[in-house]
Amino acid sequence: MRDMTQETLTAKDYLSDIRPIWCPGCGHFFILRALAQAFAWLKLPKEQIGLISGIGCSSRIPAYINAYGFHGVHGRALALGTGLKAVRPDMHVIVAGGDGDGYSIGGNHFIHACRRNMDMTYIVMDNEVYGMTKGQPSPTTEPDWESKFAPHGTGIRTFNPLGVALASGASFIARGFAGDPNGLTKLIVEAIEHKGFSLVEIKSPCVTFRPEEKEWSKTMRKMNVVPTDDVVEAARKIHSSDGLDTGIFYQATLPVFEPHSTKGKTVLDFEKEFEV
Amino acid sequence: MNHPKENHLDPLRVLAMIHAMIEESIYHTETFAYTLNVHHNDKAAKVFHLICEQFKAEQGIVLNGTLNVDLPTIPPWEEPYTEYIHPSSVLIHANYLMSESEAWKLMHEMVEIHKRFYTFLCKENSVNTLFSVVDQLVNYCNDCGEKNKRLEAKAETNRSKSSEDIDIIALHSNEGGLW
Amino acid sequence: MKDRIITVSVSGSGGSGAVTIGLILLKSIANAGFYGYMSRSSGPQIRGGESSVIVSFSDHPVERNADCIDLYFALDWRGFERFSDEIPLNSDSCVIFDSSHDTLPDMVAKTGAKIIEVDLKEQVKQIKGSLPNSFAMGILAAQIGLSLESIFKALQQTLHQKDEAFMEDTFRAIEAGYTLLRESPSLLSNWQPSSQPRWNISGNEACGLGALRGGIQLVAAYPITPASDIVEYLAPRLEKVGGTVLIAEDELAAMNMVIGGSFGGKASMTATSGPGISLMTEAMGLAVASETPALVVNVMRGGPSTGIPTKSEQTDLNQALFGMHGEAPHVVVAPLSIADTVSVTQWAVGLAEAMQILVILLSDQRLGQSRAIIDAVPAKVYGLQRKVLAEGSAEPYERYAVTEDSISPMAIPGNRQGLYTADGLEHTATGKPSSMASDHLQQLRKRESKVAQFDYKNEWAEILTSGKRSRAIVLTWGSTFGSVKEAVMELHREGIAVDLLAIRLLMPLRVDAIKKLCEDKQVIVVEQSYSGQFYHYCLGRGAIGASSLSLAEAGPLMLKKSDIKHFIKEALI
Ligand SMILES: Cc1ncc(C[n+]2csc(CCOP(=O)(O)OP(=O)(O)O)c2C)c(N)n1
Ligand code: SF4
Repeated sequence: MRDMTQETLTAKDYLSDIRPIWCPGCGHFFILRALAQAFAWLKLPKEQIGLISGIGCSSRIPAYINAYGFHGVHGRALALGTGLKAVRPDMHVIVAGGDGDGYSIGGNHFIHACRRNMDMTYIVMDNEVYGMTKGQPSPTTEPDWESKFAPHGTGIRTFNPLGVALASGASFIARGFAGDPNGLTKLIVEAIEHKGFSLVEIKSPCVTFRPEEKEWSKTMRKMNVVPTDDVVEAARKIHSSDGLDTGIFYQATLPVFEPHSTKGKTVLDFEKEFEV
Repeated sequence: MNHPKENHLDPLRVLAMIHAMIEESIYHTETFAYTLNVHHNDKAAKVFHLICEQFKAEQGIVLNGTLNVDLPTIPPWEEPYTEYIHPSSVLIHANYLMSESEAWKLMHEMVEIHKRFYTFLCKENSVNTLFSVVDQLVNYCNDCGEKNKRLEAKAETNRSKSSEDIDIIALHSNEGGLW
Repeated sequence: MKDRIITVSVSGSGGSGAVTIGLILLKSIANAGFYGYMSRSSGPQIRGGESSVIVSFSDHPVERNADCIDLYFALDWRGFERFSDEIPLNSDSCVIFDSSHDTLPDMVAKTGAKIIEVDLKEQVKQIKGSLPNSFAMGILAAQIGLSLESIFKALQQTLHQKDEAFMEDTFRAIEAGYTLLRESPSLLSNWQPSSQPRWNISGNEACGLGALRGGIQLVAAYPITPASDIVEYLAPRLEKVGGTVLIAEDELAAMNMVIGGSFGGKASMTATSGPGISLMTEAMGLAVASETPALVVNVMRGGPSTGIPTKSEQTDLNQALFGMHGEAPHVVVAPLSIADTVSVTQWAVGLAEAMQILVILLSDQRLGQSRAIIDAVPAKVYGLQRKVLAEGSAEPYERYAVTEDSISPMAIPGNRQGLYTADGLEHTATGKPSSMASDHLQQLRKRESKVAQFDYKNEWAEILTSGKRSRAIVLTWGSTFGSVKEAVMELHREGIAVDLLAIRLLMPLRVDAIKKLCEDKQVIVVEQSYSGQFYHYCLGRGAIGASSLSLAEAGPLMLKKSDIKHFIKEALI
């Protein structure tokens, strides 16, 4: 996939003039950089990248990348990306956003994007909290995490994105960590190279509302997962993981949804059908 | 990660990795200096900015030393040695409320990552002339280290602001606040 | 039958074949050189519920059902009470029914209609393999005066049946039915067959065809009555002209898919009905804010909530006009008839593309699910295209640049010079998010003015004048136009001068033009809503004066021509 005929570009070339204003320390910074590194390594032509996001701190990312981007509404980025990919199969469609955006308000689109298994990459910057709206619990927040919004914790078990993706039909499922930029870059490169729907769920500390997540730099295991193309084996790995393992949990060749449009008829042919 | 042992001492690959590492440090210190500014923490921002300038000079040494050679493209995930840590990994401990002295501490750690890489290379030593660049880098880092120590000693240790003073996502930036 | 229009209705419980009779009647009328219009109504059952069709036909184009039924065939009376109000009978009507298993309901007897009983069971016994509805078909054909030939031809066109024995039996049954009743004089004797090329088309198909003509390349939709037919028409066809239909997981997805496809450079649309529109509203605002062309077709049904899914109302007008939060200038158009739907849909695609804007097209169940024989609708040339950033342009690109016509060149992904991020956040001319008052005002003005200053040409309305100085003018929109037009034409024939203004461009409303047309005239606003949404809209925008009158009736029953006529006459006293 890496196109050797393309001129060499560096990460810098893929970063726009607009500078991120995330909180200093936020994991999203490192994901942005890894994404730019991955683009540079793959030598993707900038004009062939469509980076689509919803709303949230994480969803600001398209503005920071020098490519075509769409900063849409909260939770619908996957649908917008699906529309783009359907009419422009030549584009590299990368959808990015937060855990609230993707797993809560956009949960239905997540399931169906996995099902469709279109050739695109979904990057979730999971900080287990709603950052942008100042620290409410998200679907990946532990049930006993106390906040203003849920003083006694949510009391609701956490959402398992990798498990849901596997059950729904995604063909590339990985977990990464923002604090491991090298491993992350590799994951993103492989996700983009994969033909089909690739989920890269990235643990990304929200240093402001979940400062305890800084501990992840000690506890997350770097790229320790061995990939498999066996669903049952992948399910076992996903469900037995304590959430701190990173790497590709599942990668398989599955049917990819591609609209089969042809050319060969004209509107005039269809008008004839109405003639009496 | 990949640690292609036999490649270690291929001087061009080593220099390419040094170049890549410094690029990462420049990018992140520059970016963090900007966001600290936006979050009205000018004191910490200034420290990041100063170190960023030093990293740029450090990169100058690499570029000067490799004027007539083409550095190979190294996969961005390749790590030079087993204990290597990415210079950005210390930045997770940055904070928009951080004091000037805390900023110095972080920057110090980042510089240490560079130094550790250079020291590793010196130990592995090679006769190749290109490695003289590494010597220059070590010297430069040491010089800066001295200067920085004096500045760090003068730095304020108190946090000037509390979380009540600052809106998380730079509410006053033109980009707007919370969505 | 003074105005040479015959209206026939057939009803029966599920599987009785009422709808098939309607379709075949419509085709035979077309084969005989005439025009027709068929509406249908069915019970709430998915399959096997009672259903009825009403077919009106004439030797000139008709786009509505007459107020009263001339000829009604009840295959049985089961569930009749449920749609009896949609089959208006009076003493001029003739009712034929199968007396083999039912007796005449009281409510029908009370109408004073002429009643003819036939024993279809007996008939079926005589021809093995025949069905009751074949006899009914023959009886109706004979009563109307349609030739057996045109019926047989229509039957072949409709059934495409390979089983020759079955066709043979059906023909024989129709023939038997044809001669069953005493011969009656043909109702069509002095009708002039048309030599024009004509189409047999439903409103929803017309919408699909208009979309194809407009160059739609992506349709993303979630099924909903009564809009699904549009997608079902397009699904097998669009892919053959290089386009795509996406089955969305819900309407939230559908609308965002449309925006994604349009961002990718392809004209995109969705089709839905009220509940779907409610779900799409947030993303419709995104199309406005990000200036991404998008067409949303709303085939209106009764509301609120799930409402009356299978029947018609014009009550989503307020939502189409004002449904979005913030100030979101956009375009709302509405076709006036099935034939008009072809052109208005094509126009709507063009408007969306040319202005990089959200266009809502309001159709309704009556318009969408009725079928008619109409004159073929020639394709129009609107010359409306997306203003696209040229490849290789040297200037630094500003996606939302302020221009003279307030429309900025749009870069299509793949163009090296046009990299940008589209945004639903308020932004600067380059697209960078901004909450500054000055940027907000600049971009608000730009979005407002591109819609306000656009040249909509003559398409914005249909104007019908009496040729004399009229004392009154009737304002209407959408499917109500059919009844209003007939009422006004009848008044003209009676020598009463009344003008008719039917508005296609509902937003932005051509206030000055409407005011001018209404000057010194009694204004009467006719619409199908309980609260008079259209009336209040025109009044609120200052297009009409305070002395204007409102004739607003809730759905789902069609406004009657006679009621409209009566209202106008009263207003003129
Ligand atoms: C329809 C809608 N509901 C609510 C919001 C408010 N809102 C903005 S961002 C956000 C959550 C963001 O959380 P997440 O997606 O996890 O991203 P993060 O900020 O943590 O990166 C919410 C609820 C909105 N913009 N739109
Ligand atoms: S609030 Fe949390 S997620 Fe948002 S920028 Fe700050 S640290 Fe990052």
